[in-house]
Amino acid sequence: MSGAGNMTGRATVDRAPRKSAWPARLDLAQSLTGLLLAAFLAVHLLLDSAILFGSDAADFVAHFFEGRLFFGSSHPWIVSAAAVVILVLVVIHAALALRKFPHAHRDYAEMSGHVRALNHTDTRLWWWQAATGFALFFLVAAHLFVVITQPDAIGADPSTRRVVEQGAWALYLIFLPVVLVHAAVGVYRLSVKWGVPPLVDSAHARRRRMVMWIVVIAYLVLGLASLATYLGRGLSG
Amino acid sequence: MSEPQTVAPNDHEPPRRLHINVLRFNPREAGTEPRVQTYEIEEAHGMTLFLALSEIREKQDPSLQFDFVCRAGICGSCAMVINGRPGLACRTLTTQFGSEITLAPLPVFELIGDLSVNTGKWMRAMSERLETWVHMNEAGVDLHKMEERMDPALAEEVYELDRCIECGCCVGACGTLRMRPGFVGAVGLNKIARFRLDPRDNRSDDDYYELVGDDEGVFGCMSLVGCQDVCPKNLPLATQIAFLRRKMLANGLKR
Repeated sequence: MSGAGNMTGRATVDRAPRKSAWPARLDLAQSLTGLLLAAFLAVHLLLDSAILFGSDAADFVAHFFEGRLFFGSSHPWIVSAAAVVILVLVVIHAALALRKFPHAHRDYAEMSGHVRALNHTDTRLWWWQAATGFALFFLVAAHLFVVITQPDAIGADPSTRRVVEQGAWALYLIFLPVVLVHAAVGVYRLSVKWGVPPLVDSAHARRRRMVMWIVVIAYLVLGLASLATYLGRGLSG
Repeated sequence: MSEPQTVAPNDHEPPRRLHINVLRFNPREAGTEPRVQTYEIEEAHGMTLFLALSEIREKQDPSLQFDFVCRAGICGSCAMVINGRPGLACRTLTTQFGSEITLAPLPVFELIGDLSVNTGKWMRAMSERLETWVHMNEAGVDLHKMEERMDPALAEEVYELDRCIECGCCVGACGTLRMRPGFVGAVGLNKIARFRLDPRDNRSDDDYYELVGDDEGVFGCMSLVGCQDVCPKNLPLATQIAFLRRKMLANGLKR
């Protein structure tokens, strides 16, 4: 392998260069950031649904994250700081995921034609994950900008104002299904990618996808119910 | 994913008329364009696509090009895209489909003509790139000694992965390969998994990382599982890729 190097007359070591560790690291980092973000989302949406149990429950969650339980008073910067951490994770994850996107028209045409012709569930799921991932570049940016700049606007009444008067319901209505599909398909595909647990046969994969869709629907119902509750509160004044 | 339904043959009904659409193109014939040609034949009992194509070539169109050798799913020559999905013509019953069947050559491989592609050229390049043969210290081999025994369970595991017939179906079903033509594909990664198991091969994970430890190797796989779902030999390709990915990750993180 070093033969070509010797031909140029430059000084060469008589050993093939070792392959970089970076592809391994980046592959792991994409999976880990994705898994962390999915876990965060699962908890985030559960806590959002506190409003279903009344405004006190929602306020309790808000006060908890503003540190009132620990410091005795509200520190909204904690919320901002947490949102910045999430933003950093999203940026890393997005940058790594970009490696897998179609880069040129040829890639796009080949892949979209392939998805249509093959009519194969897992291939189609990848396509949807790429599409939702692309949409999330913008949706996450809009959402996190608000959270970072207005960290004190959480809790029952501030959230109601944001959802109804500031029109955030429109963002959330698109954001919710997009992020749910992206995260659930992502976690399913992680299990296939790393073989944890190993994918034995196509019946096995079907069962795993069934669980994935149940999770998506459960969270979608929960999220829409929370959103409807905020809308109801806001519209009834 | 909708599994093909087998239509139960009914002796009382007249045989079906099949319309077989074939994507035809001969790159060596100057001035011709790819076209779809439809052949109509009468379905016979237990007819495979290979039998249908043979009948067409014999009775209707001797110029139709397709490959076959063994007619029994062993040689891998008759792989083609059947209603959008790669599969072996000799192992595919016409009763699986409606009366309309569309055939196309496997993508990625060099087209010889009509349904015939040069899988051998691609497979050879893959083999040379991944060095898919047993590497041993030949100077240290003592020909007078008995060969080292292999545990039957391990031999079985090696044999399981060795069942690959290099038909190219996994290559044709791989979305990653369509976007990134340099990707080694499931057939190559399965071979690395196979030699990795073989105790006669002296290579270590350091050596395998040099072969597949990058985005054109195991880390490039986008886990679309097309390979495993179309493999006519039912090889656990996605499972093997996941296993190899974990091993190569562990090696990469140590570097």
